Amino acid sequence: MKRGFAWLLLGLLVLLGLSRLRFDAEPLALLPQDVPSIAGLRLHQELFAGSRELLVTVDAPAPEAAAALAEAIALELRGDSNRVAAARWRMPLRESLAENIAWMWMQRPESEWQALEARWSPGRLRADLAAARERLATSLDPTELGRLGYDPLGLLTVSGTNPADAGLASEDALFASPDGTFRLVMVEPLHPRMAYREATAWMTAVRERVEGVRRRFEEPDPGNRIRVAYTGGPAFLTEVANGMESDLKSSVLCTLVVICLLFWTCHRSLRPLGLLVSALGLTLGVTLALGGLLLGTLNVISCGFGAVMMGLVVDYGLVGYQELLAHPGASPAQLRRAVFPGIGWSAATTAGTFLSLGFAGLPGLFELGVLTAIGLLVGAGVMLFWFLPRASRVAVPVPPPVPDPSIPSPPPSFRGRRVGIATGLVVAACVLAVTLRGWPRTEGGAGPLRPRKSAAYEAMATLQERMGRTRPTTWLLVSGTDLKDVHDRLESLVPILERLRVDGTLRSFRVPTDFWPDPGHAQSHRTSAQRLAGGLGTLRAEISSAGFSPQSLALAEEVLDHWRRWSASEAAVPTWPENEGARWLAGLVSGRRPDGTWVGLASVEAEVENVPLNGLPPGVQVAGWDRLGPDLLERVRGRVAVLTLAILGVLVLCLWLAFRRWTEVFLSLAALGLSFGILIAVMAVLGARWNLLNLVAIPLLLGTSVDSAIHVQLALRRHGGHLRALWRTTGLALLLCAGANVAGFGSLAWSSNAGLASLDIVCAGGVVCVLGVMLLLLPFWWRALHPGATGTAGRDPLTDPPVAGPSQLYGGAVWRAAGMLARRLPRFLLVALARAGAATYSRLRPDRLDTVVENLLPLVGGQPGIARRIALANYGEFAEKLVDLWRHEAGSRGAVAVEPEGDWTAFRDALAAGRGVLLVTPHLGNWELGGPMLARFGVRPLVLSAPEPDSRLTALRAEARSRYGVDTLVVGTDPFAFVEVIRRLQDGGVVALLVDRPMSGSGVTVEFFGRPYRASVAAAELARATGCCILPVYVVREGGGHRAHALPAVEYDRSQLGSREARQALSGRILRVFEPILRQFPGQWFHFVPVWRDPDP
Amino acid sequence: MSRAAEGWRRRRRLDVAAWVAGVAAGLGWLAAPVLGSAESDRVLGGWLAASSNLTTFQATVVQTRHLKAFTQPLVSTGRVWFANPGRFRWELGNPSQSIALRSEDSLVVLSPRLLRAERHAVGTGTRGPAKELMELLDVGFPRDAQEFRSRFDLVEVSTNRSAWVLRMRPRSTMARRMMPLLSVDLEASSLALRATELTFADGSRLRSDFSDIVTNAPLSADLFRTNLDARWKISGTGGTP
Repeated sequence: MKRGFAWLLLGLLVLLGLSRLRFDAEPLALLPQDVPSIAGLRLHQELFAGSRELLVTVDAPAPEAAAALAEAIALELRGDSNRVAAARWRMPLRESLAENIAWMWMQRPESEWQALEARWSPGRLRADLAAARERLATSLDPTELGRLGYDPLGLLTVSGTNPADAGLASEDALFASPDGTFRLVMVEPLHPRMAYREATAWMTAVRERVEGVRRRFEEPDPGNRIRVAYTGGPAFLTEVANGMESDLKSSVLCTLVVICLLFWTCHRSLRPLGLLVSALGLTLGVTLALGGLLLGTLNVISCGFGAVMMGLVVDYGLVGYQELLAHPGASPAQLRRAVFPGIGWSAATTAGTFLSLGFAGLPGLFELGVLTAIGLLVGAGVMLFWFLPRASRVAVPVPPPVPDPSIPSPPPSFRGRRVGIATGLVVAACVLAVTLRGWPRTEGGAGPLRPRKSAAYEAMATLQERMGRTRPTTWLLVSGTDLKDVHDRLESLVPILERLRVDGTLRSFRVPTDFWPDPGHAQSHRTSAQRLAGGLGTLRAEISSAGFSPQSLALAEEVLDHWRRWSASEAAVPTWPENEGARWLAGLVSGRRPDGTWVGLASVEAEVENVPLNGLPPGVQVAGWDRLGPDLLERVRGRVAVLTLAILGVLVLCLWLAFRRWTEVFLSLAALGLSFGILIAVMAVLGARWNLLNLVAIPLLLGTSVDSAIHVQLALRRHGGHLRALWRTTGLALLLCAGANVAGFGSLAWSSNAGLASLDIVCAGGVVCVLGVMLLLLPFWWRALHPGATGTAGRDPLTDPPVAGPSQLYGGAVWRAAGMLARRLPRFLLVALARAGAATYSRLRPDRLDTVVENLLPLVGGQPGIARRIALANYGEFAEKLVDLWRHEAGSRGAVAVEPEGDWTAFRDALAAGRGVLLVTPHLGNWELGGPMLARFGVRPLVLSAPEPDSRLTALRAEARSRYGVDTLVVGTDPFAFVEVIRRLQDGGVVALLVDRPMSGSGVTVEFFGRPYRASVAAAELARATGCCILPVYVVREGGGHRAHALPAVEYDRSQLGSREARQALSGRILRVFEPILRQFPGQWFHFVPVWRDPDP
Repeated sequence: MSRAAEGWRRRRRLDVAAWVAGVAAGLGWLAAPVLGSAESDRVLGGWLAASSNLTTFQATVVQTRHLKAFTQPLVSTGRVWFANPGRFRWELGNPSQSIALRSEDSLVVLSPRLLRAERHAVGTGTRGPAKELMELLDVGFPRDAQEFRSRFDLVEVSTNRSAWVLRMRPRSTMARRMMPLLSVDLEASSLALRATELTFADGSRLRSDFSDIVTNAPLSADLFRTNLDARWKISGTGGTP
């Protein structure tokens, strides 16, 4: 019931997450928004109408056919008023040229009006008309002939601008190629901000209508075929979004197929395969749902996460399944415990690596990283807690591939010479390839952000080419608080751009100063406009007397008519001309932000790409696709370098923690380095290039490949360097995992997005290179550097003790650092930190926790639940014990002092009698603090200690004891050490000894808690040699302080200790004295290595 | 006068003009019989052969412009120089008001009084209506048959007593849209160039009548070069004539 509810909840969560999920097809959303050129481009797309229109291009053999078809398409689409707001096939300004010219004049400054009035004064007008007549008689410029003939009064020349430049004169401007055979229909959707499915349906409907029209115009001759293509906002949106959906489906499906094939090839078992696929499906569903809840959208890059994530997650399932086959009798919990550290670390480090993609500075990649990281963690959980238990019920036990010592490893002669030759050849081939072909170049353009094989992009490229736009356009977005502010900024821009044009930086520029409203001017010119309009009769007479026909005054008449109306009525001059064409043009050059401020759009055509535009006034943003690549590449390159270095640092640390040997760390790094070398050589040979997306493959590969180096070398250690055993076990598993990874990455090689495809191709290639080096070269390098490897198999992870030695953290450096902290931090903070660290450690190293549980089981009557609870408490107690010990050794103020408790009479009596005292204690409480307590009472004890794992730590501890009047004797390094101990006891001194863990060679099996136990015989030996008083003592933390308890002395007959059995029996008696004490304080009995195993080696 | 009445009067004038033009064209057609295709080819071949022997040409030109914006034709005089291959210089007005210069790689239109120059590159991919039209100024000097046919479609050849009249259509669609028809008048006996006429899309016509013709005399190369100092305002892009 409970489980059913959980599944229902999960299902609802998945549904909720999936319902929130959207495809964001906008390429700019992939990029960091704080890069100025990107912010500019986004602003351009958000505010200006042109970016939201569909462009239908018509390419016909003759201009007449192109014009007829374009017009027919526009008319057809205008009829679809449920979808289309407007469809234009030519400049809609010509019909309203007079209104637009009249309006433009109203926006000009007073000086220009004064000049116009002066020009139209009778005497001046006559002279100007005569000059115009002279020009018409002699001009060889056809444009001038056309203009002067229909505008002898010079109204078209607003602000000295050639009207052709203003784009107002020709109805084909913006809509037709110079030869007229290529035309454009601009279609404005009724709802410009469509979601992608809506846009897809809209595009389909528009296409059907357009194709219907095209068929009517189709020529039977294939040479005269009319071509229609689609580009612009809606076309890009549908193409990119559908590509993403297809990428997601096909890559996931392809990866699944490859995984199934690999699994079937290796295991030939259908039900586990079904479970594995279901687990992957569950992982994908939950991850998508979480992605929907956390991010809300998938973009063109992050939609590739599915395949990548599945390729990695399947490893966890394979590892678990392999373990299951190797240990058919093991319970799911045992299996989980066995594989958890590997899977947990792998998932955590790989997820961390993917999360670090966020640092690359590309939001698109960050989302890919987040989703993959979520997927990895979810996948690890699903594989451990869902797949493994179910797989264990259906798995067909097969003997695991074990190393067969009868199969010889490659002969020793192979190890040195041939490995060197093979490695040298590989390195030489890489160097040769890079030398001949050159280092793979870095592509700086924005190409990786665009789709591949895109009909819409091809149509856009054709459009640019046919319309003669050979240089990339750069937009200047001029922001201002109101229309006047923007107007002034646009005006101030003109001389700057003109200077850049003159010095050759720019080929041309367009600033909409003539088509930008200046409400102040418009109102102030109403009187002048009325005056000029009233002089129409005079103008007619002058025109006629100069020989011009009445036709030549048609434009002027209409302009004056508008001026008359605007001057006479109470209504103000409109902000923009009121005709439909002018409103459209206004949408192309002006935009209004939600906060009411305005943005004007100027454009420049530079001679070269990405040219710097210096000296632009404030409030001007520069944007252009050609500027995007270099800006981004610079940013990504810097970040990737830092990221790679950081990951390398972490890798070295991980490798050191995994191996604790510099040779193996070095071998791992060398193998990774060679893998990258091969990858780069292959790229050089194939002519592949780095770009702003596939650069990220470097840290990604580093992060995901280090596992292989660790697995291979640990396996070599386990198998004693037996190569065939390595290849049959770990090699096979790595091959399967790499196959799945390559499938995951490789399935995106056909992605519709060029950048994602290149990233995944490099990653897939990198995985292959890494696998090759790890399996074919690294093992031989390892053997070459480990000539003593015997080829014998090592420990079984399920049957052998999980941990044998102390923690790697127990070393001089950590101890010293802890001492420094202890001097500076208050106890409560230190305790909190230490307890948190201990709790974390207990979870990160469940094998060690299991060991502690195992150690405590006999103390609690064999009840695992209680033992586990006490074990967890034990970690906390140990943390607190360490804090007090560090504070004590560091000499911190207020360090805890130990007070004697119980009956110490025997101790005093022995000392008074000059009899040596041997203090024996288990690893209980804070035994170290007992020594300083004795010193406080004037006794200088000698502590017998085993060498610490780190010689620096041994020295550190001895030095600390010495500071408090306690001598240390490290047993095991000096064969005559016991002579000193015996002398000290014979002289009536005090010696302290831990008895519940034997030093090397001093262990005997005794009964302890009713079970055989390996105890130290040293106390019995010293008793026989000196006849000292054996006094059991212990120091525990109770009642807020530490108390040193003395138990009754252990009586013995010295003369009976001649035999080993007697000494063994005495050792057992000494140890068993502590049984009730340990039952009382099990949480303070600190053993983190197995104490009950191998009782009789 | 009301606006409607003015409009009616204007339409009436246009109707009358159209009627007169139609009658004139009809009479002209009757007066200048159109040749059959064999005869047309013979005349065209003869002209092209004569032109291929032409190395230089210089003449006085009288240009008559029948513009829609004007009630009367506008007449101007000037000089024209042509040098094979492909160089020419047109000068109109006295003193020069407009000069059109074409060298191998550029075409420049100069307005000396306004100190304005517009430059176009020749032979590059760039196109534009002005450039297309300017390139038709050398319609009277075809280099060879192949070049002629690549640029023009011969519409008809007619004759009157003293001249052959060749009517042609530009092959370039852009040029054709602005200038649908061109004609060349040739001396009936020698097939020497006498006049050219360009007809614009709005019906305006530009006729150039040549006199004082000198052929194959050496011409200074400086004639086809410009020497523009800093006072000139130069627009457009192109080569260096």
